[in-house]
Amino acid sequence: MNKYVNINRRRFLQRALMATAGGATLAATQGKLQLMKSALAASTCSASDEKSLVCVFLLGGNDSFNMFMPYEQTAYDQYADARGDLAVPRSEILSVNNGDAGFRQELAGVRDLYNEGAVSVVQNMGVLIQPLTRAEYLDAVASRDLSKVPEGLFAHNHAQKLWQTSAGTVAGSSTGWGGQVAEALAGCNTSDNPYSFSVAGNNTWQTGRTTLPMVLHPSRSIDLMEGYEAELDNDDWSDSRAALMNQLLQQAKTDTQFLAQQAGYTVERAKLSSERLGNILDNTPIINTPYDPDNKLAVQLRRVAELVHARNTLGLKRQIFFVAVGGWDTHTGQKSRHSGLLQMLNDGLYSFYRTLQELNLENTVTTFTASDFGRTLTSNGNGTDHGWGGHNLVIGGSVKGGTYGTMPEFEIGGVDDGGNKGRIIPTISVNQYSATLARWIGVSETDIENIFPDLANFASKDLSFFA
Amino acid sequence: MIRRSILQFLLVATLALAGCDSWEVSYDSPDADNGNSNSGENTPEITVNDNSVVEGDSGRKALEFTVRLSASASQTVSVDYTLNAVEATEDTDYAHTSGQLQMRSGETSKAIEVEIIGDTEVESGETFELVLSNPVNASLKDSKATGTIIDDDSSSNPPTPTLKIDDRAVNEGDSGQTNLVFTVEVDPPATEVVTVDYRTQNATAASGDDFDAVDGTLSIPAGESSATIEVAVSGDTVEEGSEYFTLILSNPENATLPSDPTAKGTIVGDDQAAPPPLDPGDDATTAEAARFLTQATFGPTQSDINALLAMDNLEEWVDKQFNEPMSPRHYPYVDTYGGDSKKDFRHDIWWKNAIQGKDQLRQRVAFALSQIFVVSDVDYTLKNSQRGMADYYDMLVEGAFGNYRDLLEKVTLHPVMGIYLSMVQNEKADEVRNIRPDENYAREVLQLFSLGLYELNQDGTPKIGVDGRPLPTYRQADIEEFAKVFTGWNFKGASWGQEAIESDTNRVDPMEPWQEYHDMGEKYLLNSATLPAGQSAEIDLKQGLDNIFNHPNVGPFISRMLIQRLVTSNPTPGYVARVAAHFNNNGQGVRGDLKAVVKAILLDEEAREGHLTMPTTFGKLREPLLRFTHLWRAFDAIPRDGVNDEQFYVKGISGFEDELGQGPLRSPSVFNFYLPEYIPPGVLQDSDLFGPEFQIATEGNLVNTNNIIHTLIYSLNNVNKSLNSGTAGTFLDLEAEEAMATNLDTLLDHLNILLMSGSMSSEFKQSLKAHLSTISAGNETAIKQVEDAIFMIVTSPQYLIQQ
Repeated sequence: MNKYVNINRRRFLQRALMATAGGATLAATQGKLQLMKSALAASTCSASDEKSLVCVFLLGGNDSFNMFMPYEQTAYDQYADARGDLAVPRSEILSVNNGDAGFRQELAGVRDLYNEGAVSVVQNMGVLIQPLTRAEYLDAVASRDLSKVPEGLFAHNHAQKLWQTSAGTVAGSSTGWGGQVAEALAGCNTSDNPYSFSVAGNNTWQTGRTTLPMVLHPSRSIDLMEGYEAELDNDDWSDSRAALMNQLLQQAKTDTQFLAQQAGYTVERAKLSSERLGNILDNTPIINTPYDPDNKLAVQLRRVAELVHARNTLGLKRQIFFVAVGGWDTHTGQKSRHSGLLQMLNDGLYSFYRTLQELNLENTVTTFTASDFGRTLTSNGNGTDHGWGGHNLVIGGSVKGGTYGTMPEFEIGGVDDGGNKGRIIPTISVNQYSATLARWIGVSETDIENIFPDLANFASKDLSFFA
Repeated sequence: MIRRSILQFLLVATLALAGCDSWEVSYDSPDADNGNSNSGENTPEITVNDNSVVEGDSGRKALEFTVRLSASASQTVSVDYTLNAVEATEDTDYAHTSGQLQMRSGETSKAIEVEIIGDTEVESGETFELVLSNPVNASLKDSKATGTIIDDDSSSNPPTPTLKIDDRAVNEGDSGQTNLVFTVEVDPPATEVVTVDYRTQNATAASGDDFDAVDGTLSIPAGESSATIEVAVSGDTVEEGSEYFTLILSNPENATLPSDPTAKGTIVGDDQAAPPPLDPGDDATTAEAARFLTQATFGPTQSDINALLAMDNLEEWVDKQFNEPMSPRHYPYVDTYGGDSKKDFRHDIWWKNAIQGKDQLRQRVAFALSQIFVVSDVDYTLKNSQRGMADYYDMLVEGAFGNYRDLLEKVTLHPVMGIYLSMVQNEKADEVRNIRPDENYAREVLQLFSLGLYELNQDGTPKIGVDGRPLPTYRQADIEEFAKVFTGWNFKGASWGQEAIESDTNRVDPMEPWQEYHDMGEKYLLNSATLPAGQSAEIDLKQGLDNIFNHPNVGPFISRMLIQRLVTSNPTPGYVARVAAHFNNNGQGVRGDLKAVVKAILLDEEAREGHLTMPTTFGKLREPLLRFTHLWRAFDAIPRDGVNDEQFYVKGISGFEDELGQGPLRSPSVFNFYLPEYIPPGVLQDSDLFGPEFQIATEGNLVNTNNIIHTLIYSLNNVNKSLNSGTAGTFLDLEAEEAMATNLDTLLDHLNILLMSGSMSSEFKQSLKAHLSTISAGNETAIKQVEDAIFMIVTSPQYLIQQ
């Protein structure tokens, strides 16, 4: 990215590889770590297996009832009636399950993967503290008794947090379940390299109690952080400068000013990330599976594939990834916008899965979608507003393909409507979905109970979408 | 207090999880082919001890069983364990756990921790059993151990509740009396009536003049969790700072006093206090001038510091800035050079004004407002509306010293906002077409531009309901009513329909009303207000915005966000309350006067002395863009494109803002670059402190920022590079600093003021000096010393915190 950088990369690589063998714990360099025993410590993993979990977050709220919908004629007619002019014509639905339901035609690739048994569709899921009927929900709202209803359901930031923290009762919690899963699995990894990566910025999902994700740009290489290394061998001047800069960094970590101390750790993470990962991303595998470099999702997932491929080199048996694309908040222009978004989603997920197959990694990587909320069945004239339940996709070679949960009743003011606008009450909790994913990657039952406390309120603790 | 009370609800889950370490076991992988058949002589035996713990009244404790091996094993030993209830009740008295314990070769003991749940019930001895089974590579000598929970609650000696009281602040007002209400909490609620004596004591506030002294006994009925004490505060128009008195609790019955039985009652002076005078020639004053300019401008320069020191006081500077003519608007520049599709030109004029504008305070406040009233051309709908984006920013710059209410209306009707939050062509419900109004703008104007999600006290702390949860400011039903208010608006001169949205419509002039698409029904707004049926789109909009504007949340909500952008991430409730008081009333009875708010923020005692009075927590992480404006202002940036000096090129590094994680009107969503309540893990989380800007201090952003700054300092300065070489870029003028380098102390003292407002530690300075002294490069020695000094200062973590 920076045309003025003139560091000798090769010399640097040697140092970076040496650094990997020891040194500071990069994955969790902050604060409490030394003081606290891990509260989540019972998860196990055997020597041979490697697993990576990839969260694809569709920021803004995907109108997923227009991604996967009824196809059978009677059910389709109900759907079309409820959705009015936003209904996808039946001729544009690619049917599956013997004509019961189908994907919108933009998802042709995902439909192919579904037919190969590599896709699960989890239907009408959303954030819930406990199962809720329409009557219970309306009662709770009317009596202002919100102990059973998650806070801030329809606000983007809270809805995202609820999804990502797994703490249905506390919208403001800052600890994500991905971060807690990563912490529970930390012992599986044989190096201290980072194992929780985001190619879409900081996020709550991966913010654990002591850890943050390593945040990478989806396509740029990672440069050395200037100044912290000598520029040339035997260069007294830059050696002296590097020594001083490193000294200042260490001093900051014990600064009595809390913000300066935080800044010290933060800069150190940046420095170490450039040392540890630069060479990995400069030496990516040759991949023949095509992808569209203008597809924002595909670009991020390509970087994920590179980092999954580097699992062994990095000494990692477990990895957690966060990928995100925005634009799903289709209040306006939904017809054309949503079509384009679904095309991007399809192309990104499809090329990623084929890439993993090419690298022989598809059975050890599970990709799942998530989104703030579903959207209203009703239209505001040109788009939709914030809803609640929605469908999501789980993709991978370990997945037991099929549909899970039930399609809601497409009736405005009907049994599944949280009011009279078609804000559909979910019948599956995000916690059930998340716990199933956490279990797959190796989190123990006890840890799962700790991470997902509200899971106890649901009869089924596992949605069984893994083979 | 704000931190504690916000965290009480924000972080319940976090704390609950962090507080329940369950046990400690190995991460080791079990052997795949592990058998259960070891019975040889050397098989070690497993033993486990009984143990007990005192339960406590609340919270969770651990009871630890130690599992031991008689000898170390050559292979990994594992054993399954679970718990059985005896007299204790699972999940009431202790948390159930089960699993497999592993001991690696060489280990001979390991703990299993069981979580004990405290209560205040009177119970007899409570016991449960730990049961071991399925040993692998070892045999069981003990298969059970007993855990005893020792009850510390007894019928003859019921738990004694503790009282709790917090500080409170209130605005004095100009006349009459206001009540300052203290809440005394009893935790847990007592079984008998609790009484406690209370009295006020003068501190900086005096009874009689400022408040009415109280002296009495408070009764809290059995089972109640709190009661209140009211102290009447007298208003006046005397210019005085904030004053406080102390409320003291004593002689409790049936409860114990908290460790601090006093609470501070702060009477917020809402009459403008006389700002401190300046004393030029004093080093501390010079440093303070630089620190003030760091908060109030895009970065101090030597000439601005000198100019400030020549004034009588800081208020004079603020008043001069209020009257400084506005820098050139963005719109004409973008219109002339760029057009609608080239965002670089909008950025160039932003940089030009930020770096060279004389109206620094106005520009800095506008930048803060652009992070509240967020629009972004990262969204494709605005990518090719650069003229409109430029005009939107101009509106914020113009409105920075106006009234919040006027700005709120301009923001609402700006076509760029109309596109961004889809209010343009929002139409009334139509049953035939099965449509209803768009809720997008209604929701975000309430959540992000004015009120926030929770009811606030005037000091910015959330109001908590009887159920312990924060009180929501509005409900979904309220959003749906406001959605109706915001119907019936379209681009000026456009037709109604999707075509107009997508075509080249007017994105500069305010949107105009279309009554036929406006919902004419009654609308039920906040605080039980109703808009009558039959009103026009304009009247409904004005009255709807008035309804929002007059909600008491706006003062503390907007004040707190502006404080966070200009001064500190963690303002005290008192600071927020003092600024909110100026929002509520500028002294002449006007609500929403942003000049009064800005002045109150910058001249407040906390802004001026927070780095001394709260040295561990005061300040904020410098935003990425502010690091660059600071550098370029401190060293008189000379922008050169080699072609046309009319334009202000920062294109030495093309499109570089995107590599920093921040650009003007470039946030990823309407939630800005970072959330005001972002808390990163680490010392800030441990200390309950917010650090919004840390949300974008990601590895990639920090590496990029560091390296671009490296390029600026070492490759783009007028000493080591001729300005006429044809290189395009923004050059630092380092000639003055080069001349200073003959005396390294002089150079470092100068940089300390300019870059760190005098906060550089002597250790830091001595280390730097030692390094600079080693540089020997002939006639390039001085410039190399200057380059190194600046680079090492502005990349240091110490510098990154603006204090």
